[in-house]
Amino acid sequence: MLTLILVTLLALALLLGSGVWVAFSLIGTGWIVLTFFSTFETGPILASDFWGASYGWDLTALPMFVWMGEILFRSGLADNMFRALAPWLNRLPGRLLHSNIIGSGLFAAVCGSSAATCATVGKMTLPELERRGYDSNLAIGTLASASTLGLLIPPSIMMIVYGVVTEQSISRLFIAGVLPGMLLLALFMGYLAIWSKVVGEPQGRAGHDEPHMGFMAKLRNSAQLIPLLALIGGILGSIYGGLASPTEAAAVGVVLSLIIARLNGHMTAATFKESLFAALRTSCMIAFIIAGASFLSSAMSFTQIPMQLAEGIATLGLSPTMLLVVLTLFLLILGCFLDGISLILLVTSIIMPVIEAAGFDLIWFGIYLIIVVEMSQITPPVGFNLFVIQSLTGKDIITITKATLPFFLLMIFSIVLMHVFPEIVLYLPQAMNN
Amino acid sequence: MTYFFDRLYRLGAWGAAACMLLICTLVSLQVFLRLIDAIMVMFGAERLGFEISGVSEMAAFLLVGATFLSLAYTFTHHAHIRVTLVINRLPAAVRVWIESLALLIALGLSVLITHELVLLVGESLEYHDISSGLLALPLWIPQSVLVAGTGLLCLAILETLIATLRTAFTAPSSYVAPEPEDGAE
Repeated sequence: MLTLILVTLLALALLLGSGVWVAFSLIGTGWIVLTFFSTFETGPILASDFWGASYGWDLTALPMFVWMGEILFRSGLADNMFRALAPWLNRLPGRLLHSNIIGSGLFAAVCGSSAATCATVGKMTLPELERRGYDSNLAIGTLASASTLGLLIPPSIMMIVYGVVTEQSISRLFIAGVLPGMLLLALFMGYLAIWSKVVGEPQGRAGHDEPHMGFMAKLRNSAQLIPLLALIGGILGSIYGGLASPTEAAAVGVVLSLIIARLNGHMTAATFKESLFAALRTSCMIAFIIAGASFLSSAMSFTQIPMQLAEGIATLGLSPTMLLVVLTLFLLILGCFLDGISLILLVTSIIMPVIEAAGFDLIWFGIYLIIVVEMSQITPPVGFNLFVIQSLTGKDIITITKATLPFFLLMIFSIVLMHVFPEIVLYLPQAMNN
Repeated sequence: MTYFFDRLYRLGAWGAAACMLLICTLVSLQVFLRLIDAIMVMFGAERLGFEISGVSEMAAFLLVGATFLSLAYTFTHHAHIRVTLVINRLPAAVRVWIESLALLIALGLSVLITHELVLLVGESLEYHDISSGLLALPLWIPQSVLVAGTGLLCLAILETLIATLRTAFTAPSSYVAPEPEDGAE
């Protein structure tokens, strides 16, 4: 048994480490395990798993939401957002920095990629904030961390992937992400406000000289936010109300975002094609890894590793809290090397039985997993958001990491809160059932 | 690098794009019809029951084309992800060999997948397997699309492997690792 586990881990580490594409690394590991450690015929299992993971109605939501994100990313929506949010937030302590948080949170929700959000929003807000004399560390920290929230605020690609491979309802996962997403937004904004009162204001008066804007002018500016909010609200509302499945909401979302982009004057034949082909590349990459993970996952279950691992951990008698602490550390280390999708698929294909045996709710665990992935986006050495900000600002990675650290800790705090009060995650999906 | 069969890979991508458009159109149309129906009922009209039957099943199988026909295209645009943390630190002359090895492994596995999928298509044909929904679609059709996708991927990896090996044998230290490109067509 121990040899088998060691061989699995070694094969994964060697393949991934030597730059073999993630999907092929998963397939290769599955192939080694099945061929050398079981009496089953590898070929037919490979074919049927690969085929089985390649079609499906739920999974169809994936390329549609990816495409929607690619369209909105090119729709000019991000420019409008800053202008619409800024006048309202200028009264809060922390002022325009809040627009960084809300702006990247909202934009990431519909765009689906936290690195792309970080780049798009950052390109616009960072120079503006610097010109107005805001603390640059805080500007960087808020941008990097809030743009990861898109993974949590639905529609979320990560949730579709998790839902499909663990056979959980994607609608319920979407709904479950709403409160934790808002919790994190509130924590970030609260921290920012307190920091500004205690540390910031004595230092400088950044943002105090904003011109006053009349209420009607503010409203006029905010009207530009309506399409974005309507899109998120419409998608969530129709899913929550049972009017549409996530896949249907996604397809309609594509059509609506095309219309929004067109009205914004940002949709030409060239951008349309660009968005479509970018969506193809991303969906193909994800679908290929899903197929690979599906094969690895069944290879694992044929060899009984996950079951025995679950029993082994059960005999250790760890409390769920201890298990969660160990798991979080383990995932954060893995997250230093792997991207979010690969991390989720690797974890689900190997340790899902452990999680079920320990009595975790699988919807809750999905949300937890996504927050950990968010954290790994802002930890070196493979935090994509850190690289994006590095290329935007030219600051070195250590400064950027330091700037994001408080937000990293706030995310850990949110996991603690969710563990103590699981209702934060589970209340809405349960209410949806009744 | 330039690919000899680039046209084929692009053709695959266009096929995938067509599937995407078709999924989006069919599903939106379905929702739209349902919406009209609901509005008519609201105004007291009879329920018309506008429905395109089997849309969800059709979309589910079109997904195979939408995601896997572009396997090779995604590969040639370096959009399949991998961990480059370690190999990025290697000198070009060493890296070129590691790249070749990674490509060889990828080629072996993709040939294996394609081979096994071909056998699966054969089985589906032999036993006349059909999908379980209303559509009763013969399974060999979407399965063959999958085979086309992985077949193209084999070809693309083979081309890359040959080019990389050529560099490895002639001018290993001139090797430049490929980077994903943005906004690529």
